[in-house]
Amino acid sequence: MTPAAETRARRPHAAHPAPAAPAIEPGADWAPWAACNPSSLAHHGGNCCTAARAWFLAMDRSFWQGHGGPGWIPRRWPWGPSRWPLHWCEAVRADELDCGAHAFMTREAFRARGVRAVPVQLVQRQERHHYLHWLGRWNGSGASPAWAGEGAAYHEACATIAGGRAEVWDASVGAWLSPEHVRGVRSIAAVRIGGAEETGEVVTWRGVRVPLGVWITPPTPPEP
Amino acid sequence: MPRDSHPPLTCYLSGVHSGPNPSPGLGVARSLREAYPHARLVAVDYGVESSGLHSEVFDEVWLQRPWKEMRLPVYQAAIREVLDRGAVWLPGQDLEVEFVSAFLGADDGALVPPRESLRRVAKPAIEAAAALLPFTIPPFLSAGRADWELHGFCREHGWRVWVKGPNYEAMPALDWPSFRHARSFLSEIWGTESLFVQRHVPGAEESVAFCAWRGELLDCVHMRKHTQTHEGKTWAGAVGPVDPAIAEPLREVLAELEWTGGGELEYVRALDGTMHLIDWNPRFPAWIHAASFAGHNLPARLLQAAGFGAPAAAPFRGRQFTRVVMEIPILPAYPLPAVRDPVDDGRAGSKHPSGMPDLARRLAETRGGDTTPEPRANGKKPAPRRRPAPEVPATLQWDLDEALAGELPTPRRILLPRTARERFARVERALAAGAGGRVELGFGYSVKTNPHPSLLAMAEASGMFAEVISAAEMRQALAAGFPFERVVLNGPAPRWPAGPEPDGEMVAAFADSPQNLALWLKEGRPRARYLGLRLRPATLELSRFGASLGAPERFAETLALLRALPAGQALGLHFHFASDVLGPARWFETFEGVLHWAAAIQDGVGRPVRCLDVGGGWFPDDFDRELVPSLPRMMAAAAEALPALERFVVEPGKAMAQPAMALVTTVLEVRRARGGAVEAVVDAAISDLPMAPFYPHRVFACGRGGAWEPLGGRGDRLLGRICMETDILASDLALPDDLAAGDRLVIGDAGAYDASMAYNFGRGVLDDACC
Ligand SMILES: [Zn+2]
Repeated sequence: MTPAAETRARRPHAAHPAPAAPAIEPGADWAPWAACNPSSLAHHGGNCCTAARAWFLAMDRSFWQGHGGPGWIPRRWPWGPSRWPLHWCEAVRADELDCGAHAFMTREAFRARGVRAVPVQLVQRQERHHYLHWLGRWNGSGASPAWAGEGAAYHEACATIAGGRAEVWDASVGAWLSPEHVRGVRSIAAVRIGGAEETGEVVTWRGVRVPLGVWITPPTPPEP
Repeated sequence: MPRDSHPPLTCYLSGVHSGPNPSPGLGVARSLREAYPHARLVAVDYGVESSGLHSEVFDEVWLQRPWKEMRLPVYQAAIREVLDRGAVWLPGQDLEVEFVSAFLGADDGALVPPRESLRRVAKPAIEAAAALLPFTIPPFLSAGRADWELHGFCREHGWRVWVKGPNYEAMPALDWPSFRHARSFLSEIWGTESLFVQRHVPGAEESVAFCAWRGELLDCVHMRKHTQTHEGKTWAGAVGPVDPAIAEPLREVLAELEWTGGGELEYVRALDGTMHLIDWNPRFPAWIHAASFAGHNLPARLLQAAGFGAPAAAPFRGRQFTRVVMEIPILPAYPLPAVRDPVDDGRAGSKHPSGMPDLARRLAETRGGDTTPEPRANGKKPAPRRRPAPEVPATLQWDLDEALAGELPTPRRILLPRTARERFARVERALAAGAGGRVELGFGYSVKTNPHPSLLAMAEASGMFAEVISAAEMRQALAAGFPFERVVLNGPAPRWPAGPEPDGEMVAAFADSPQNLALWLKEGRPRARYLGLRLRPATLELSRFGASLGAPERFAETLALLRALPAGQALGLHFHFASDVLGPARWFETFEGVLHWAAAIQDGVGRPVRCLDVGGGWFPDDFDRELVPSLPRMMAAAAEALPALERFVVEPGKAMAQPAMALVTTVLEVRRARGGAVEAVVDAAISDLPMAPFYPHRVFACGRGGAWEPLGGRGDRLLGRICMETDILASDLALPDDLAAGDRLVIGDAGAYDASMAYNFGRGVLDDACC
């Protein structure tokens, strides 16, 4: 069963689907992030990258047990700075990878498994004082810290879609994200599921109707 | 008594230990204190080590004698007296719930389910849940079954199994030695008959806590574990509403069970979304106070139903919770026990502070009909019950009867010809069934497993290849009649010792490492129809064999090496891992992964894979029941992944030879130990049966009718003749009651590595020349 189908088993259909979350305008402080395209690895066009990609997909098949996300990816390449453009042959040999590489490779893995997968971009709330740590670490590695902000950060993930239902896999953490997570550290300030080519389609993500290809803010769940 | 007048609430709460594996008493007390600020809360426990009784949430402590020395009727009367005064009793331990339910009931003020309902929710079957609730029960087997059957169960589930006690405690069994360790460790505490082995279900751990009054579900909450202790106990989690798909049938089941009290369903949500019920606890979980601050005070709801008036409202404080560790002062009236002398055992006594194993024994006695058993401080345990003997095929029995009809010096390993022929006949049938397809099927006989000339001759006659790991083995196979064209060569030192190779071409040769392959390419490769590498799949990185595929650099090097094979050389790949270690299911999964690697390799090399050789280490029963029936499916998958595949070779490993030989031994001495267990010293030794600890061997004794019959299990041991602590040939046997010195015993399943790895220890000779 795909992850999206798991959700189906868990949550009965709402009798009257809620209207899809409205598209939002990016705030001035994160407008440059909203303008980004999802990351993708480059290919040298030769054996180096072809073999690297073939190795990666065979690894994923070895670890796949028929269900679930490819948690082996962040275990093998912990989250850290990557320098872009990043090629397949460089990515597989790296000691650590950023969320853009994680999310792209995860998408490739899901697709090779026959699961529809689309990119996810997020703006997550973060502790303001974490910014300086990220700035130093990324600058020190010669990587761009443009993703990090004071109190928020840009992040990439990956969504699987089946039967009109989406599940969002945080490929850097190895966990499924929930749209209810809208308060506190790492909570979702804004999210875009799917790229421009998916625009027009609406999916359900754990009860929240999400138009693909546009930035939205998940609704705040009521307190009991 | 009627509670309409809302009498002042006095509540006795037991199970108040708060440690890494806490009981619920403290959490229940905190919830009740919020709801009924003026209630009198009494902590009950059976040992001063139960830490929660020092908490300031309690008004009073009622410390009991330990269960093992308690006089049960005295305690029953004491409980009845407090209940008669209008108090309620809310037990916090599964076994204490059973005790209270057996002797007192909800009508008396004890908030417990009927005893019959407890039986219907007992592990592992959890009978009451099976029909209505949307859970499956993971497969299980009583630890009281035959070893042969238990070993088969563990293999079937890939050694991802738990040995579990009837109420508490579980230990993983990763292989046969750890299974036996877990069984003997837990049966010391709980008794073997009540232990069981259950499949591990990977997935997210969740639970549903509920409370009910006389069959009416009052409230329930769902909890998902976020972090756990090393023992798998909840440390942090999130509380939420219960899925109606669980809550509604639960309501029906509780009505049917006439449930009163708290309860918890513990289950695993597997990756495919299915839910597997592990436990039904007849009491609140220890995290219950987290439900209270998430707006569901279940203990208060229960007491309200029991007639104690409306609880005070408490504000919602969040759905997520974590535990903390904090120090509290010890109550002066219950000081810590003196520090144990470290010379003795400084760590003893902390695992079961409320004495549950002792209560388990006392309750077992009451179930046996004695309702007022007197305490026995010396803890005399009942003798272990006899476990059944394994079933054995008629051919094996026939072989034994015939081979053992006359005199035979012992210890002696004997060939069982009918059994051996039956093994090879299976291969012949599989070869015939697999013939005629595009891909040719072959079987390799593992010469290292048993190079006995008779077995080699049978393998040759059945059309098998000789799978050899050295030049020495190759010469042995050729001497036994195998043509060079039916030899498969692999292993870390395939050409040892050096010598000329015959003319012609063997079927296949596989280098164990890229270095080995590079040497072949540089200094001359073996003449083989198919040449290539043994692969080490990424999930078996710990294996010492094969070319590692776990790093992209190694993969690129491997591709480069294989590209350097001469143009006319057909490419073959080899994968070998013991299926009785992985279990057949994981072996098949690994095989699927290997097909992807093989496809990636042929794409990367630009040369098709024409031969795939897979094995090994198949337990005979698994070979028959799992591998042979799967061959058509496996070959079709291989042909699809590798369109130019010509040859598919299977290496059954020990599946051929293991049952084909037995070890005959003579009893030298019989010792009867203090609990009734029998120990027989025999003239065979661990050096004759080096695999004794690693899988069960069927042992036979001559029955009264003169036929050789398999023995069951009990706790008797078969000790070898040599001066080694590890010289134990069997530990869990039921030896014949009249066994005497001079009797013969036969240890079966001794034809594989028991034969080829036997050594000379204790015979006064050295195996190798020493200068
Ligand atoms: Zn490249």
